[in-house]
Amino acid sequence: MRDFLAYAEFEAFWDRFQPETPGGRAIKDTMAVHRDAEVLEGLWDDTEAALKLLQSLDGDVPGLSRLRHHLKRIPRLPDAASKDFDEVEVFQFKKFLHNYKNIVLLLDDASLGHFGLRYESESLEALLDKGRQSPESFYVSDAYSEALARARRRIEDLNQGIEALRQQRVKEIHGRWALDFGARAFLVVPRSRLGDAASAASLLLIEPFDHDHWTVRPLPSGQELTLLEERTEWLARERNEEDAVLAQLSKTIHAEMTTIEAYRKALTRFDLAFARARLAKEEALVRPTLHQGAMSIAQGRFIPCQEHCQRLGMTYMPLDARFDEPSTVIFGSNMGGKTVVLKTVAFLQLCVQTGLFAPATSFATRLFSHFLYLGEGRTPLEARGLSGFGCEIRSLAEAWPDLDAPTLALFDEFARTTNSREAEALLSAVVEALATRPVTALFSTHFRGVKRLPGAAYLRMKGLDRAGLASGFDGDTSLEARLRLVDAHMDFRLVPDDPQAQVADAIAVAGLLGLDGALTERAAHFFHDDSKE
Amino acid sequence: MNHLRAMAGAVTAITGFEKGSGKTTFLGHALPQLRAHGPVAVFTIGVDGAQKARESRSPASEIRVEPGDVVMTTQPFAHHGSARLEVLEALPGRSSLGHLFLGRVVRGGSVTLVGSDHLSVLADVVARVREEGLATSVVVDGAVNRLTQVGALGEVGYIVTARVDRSNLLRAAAHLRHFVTLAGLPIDPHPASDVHRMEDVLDADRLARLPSEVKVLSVEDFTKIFLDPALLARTLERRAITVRRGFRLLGLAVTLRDVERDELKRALGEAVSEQVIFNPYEAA
Repeated sequence: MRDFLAYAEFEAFWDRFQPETPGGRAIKDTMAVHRDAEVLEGLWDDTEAALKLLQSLDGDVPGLSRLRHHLKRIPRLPDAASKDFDEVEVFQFKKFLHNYKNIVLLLDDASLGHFGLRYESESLEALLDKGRQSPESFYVSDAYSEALARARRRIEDLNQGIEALRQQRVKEIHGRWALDFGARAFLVVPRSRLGDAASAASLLLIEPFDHDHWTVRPLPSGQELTLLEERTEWLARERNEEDAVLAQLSKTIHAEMTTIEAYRKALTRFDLAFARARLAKEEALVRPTLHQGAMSIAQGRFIPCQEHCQRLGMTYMPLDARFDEPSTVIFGSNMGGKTVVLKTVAFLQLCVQTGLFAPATSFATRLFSHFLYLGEGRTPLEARGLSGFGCEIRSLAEAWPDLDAPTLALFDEFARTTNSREAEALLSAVVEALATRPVTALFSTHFRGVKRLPGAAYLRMKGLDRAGLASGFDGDTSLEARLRLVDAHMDFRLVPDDPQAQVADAIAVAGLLGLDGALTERAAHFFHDDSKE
Repeated sequence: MNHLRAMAGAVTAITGFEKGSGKTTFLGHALPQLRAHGPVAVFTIGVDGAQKARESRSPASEIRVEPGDVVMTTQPFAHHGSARLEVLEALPGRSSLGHLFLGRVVRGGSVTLVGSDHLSVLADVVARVREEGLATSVVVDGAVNRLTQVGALGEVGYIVTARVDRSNLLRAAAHLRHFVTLAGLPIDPHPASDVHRMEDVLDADRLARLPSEVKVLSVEDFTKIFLDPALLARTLERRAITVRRGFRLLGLAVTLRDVERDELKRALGEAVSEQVIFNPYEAA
């Protein structure tokens, strides 16, 4: 599968699918390839519902922005198995409920109904909001418990008492040594300034700093120490009261966990659908059709190639194709677009089976259990000592049992590294064997000697349109200019192949790419001589 | 004080070469004064922060915070400190120290700072604090070998803390001079093609292997230079060294023990002495 994904250049496109909630992102990260039509139709129904919502928000930039703002702020929910939630976990529930509620408020009835989104946790939300809190923060406020409020009042009183006593002590120290602590907890003072350290110790905690200095801090009075000790006790009581509040809140949350879990599931489903819909809108994707018939593509776009062409200022030609037979052999000259046809098919099918809409004006296909790619760029096998040809054959041998099940198999110039006669024989055998299996197998090849077999179709890229080619050069011989010229005269359409046709586009393309004219003329001469023989 | 004016409204890393160099003490001095400009966010960086908290679980790693301050800590540490915090954000990852979170102080008191194991978390938190105006100034406590990572937080100034006593006076002075030299290397984010660009560290071995015709070297930042002071000085006589990313040095916060200010100034030289912030805890 990894080779197939890489061949289709699909993963970069998948990155554009951007769910915004933790649940949506986690599902996206699995990049599940679905093989169940019912599941996919369900996902596409969701996408269509989300597209309708997206259309209704067309022009409502603030509405769309608010919706995405709240989706982005949905937190990951804590593990429901926890008996008691801590403050951070309660915060996560609260933040979830706040943003979830706002999403529900922003959606229309059709969307709410379709995705099963509803909000009925007002009382829990109000409970988590107690004590004039912000809707997106949480604090075990005094409002939860009179005992907690009492503890905090006492701590506050003690803090004030401690501070007053400390200030009194600081004042005494200032009066005796003119030491100004300000906001500092301690001071470094020359030893000479304190005089008799033993006597100073009645007001100061003294520690050696260096040979000439002491570190001093105000010595708490006996009364202050009593208050400090009492505060320690009240701080412990405060913690106990907070724990009691959190235990009570946890019970309430647990009682509503089934509802919250239903919210989470519905929201994740909506988030994924909304992300698929945004992608469909941005990339002009359409809902595919699943059937048992032939794969049929109208204006299919291999988006990486389309964007590459745009960057180079070249025309991109979408693919129209129908693959009626299990095996289809595609001929064509170099730079004629054979590989792009295979990649387009792979890309479209991956869009379908990952639940996306497809980049085409229509795409009818069936579902495949396996995906096979054989050709250049495939990950080399671990086995040492295998040549490129050896790796290809070994990969095919390993995948062969899968080809009894529905498989999309793409052979991009299979056996290109061996001699043409044996390659044609091998290719013919594979084409023939697959012609009776439940596969859609596409073979791109230059080998025109492949046998014409029942159950196999033979197509070719239409190729170079030589009309006006000679006058095409405008003097610019840069590679970019030459590529533009090839592109302008290449017809990337798939047409039925005539087994008798003699196509010599490769020599013409070589000329267009700057090969010495004498060489291309001589090559054409040899080619035509051989053809006569 | 110039360094405090520069810290107000900005992101500042407080960094030291060794344990006990006075980072926390300097923090205790700076925080009350920064609060005069608005709430302050105080963070510690990377594993160091978590490790420090894990090792001590004692008041030594606590700081005093005031209402409105913003901190990163874990739930158990928050629960056991005397400050009270409202949770503003649950942060990714759950360490052995508990749930990491961003909190705002609702009751002043003590709290232990805990850092995330992932710098990206700190970077996101600092960005959020700035974007949402949760704090006016941001202070990050972190070791010098983390400066490169702190640089990822964006425009950052830094303060170096050092403890100087009679046993290390000359060594510490050399260290500080060296640091100022490194911090003063010219910044060139996009060196020309004829400049020798080093992606790794510059140490004596790599320097010795450089072709003699290399006249200008470019390193990522000064924390990637591992040349002793003498070798750096000799190298700078023959070659220029530029850094692709600079850090704004706000000052050298020095705690002197049994050493007079003038002694240190003499050891540092006049130019470097201008950068020194003497112990703010010394009684006037």
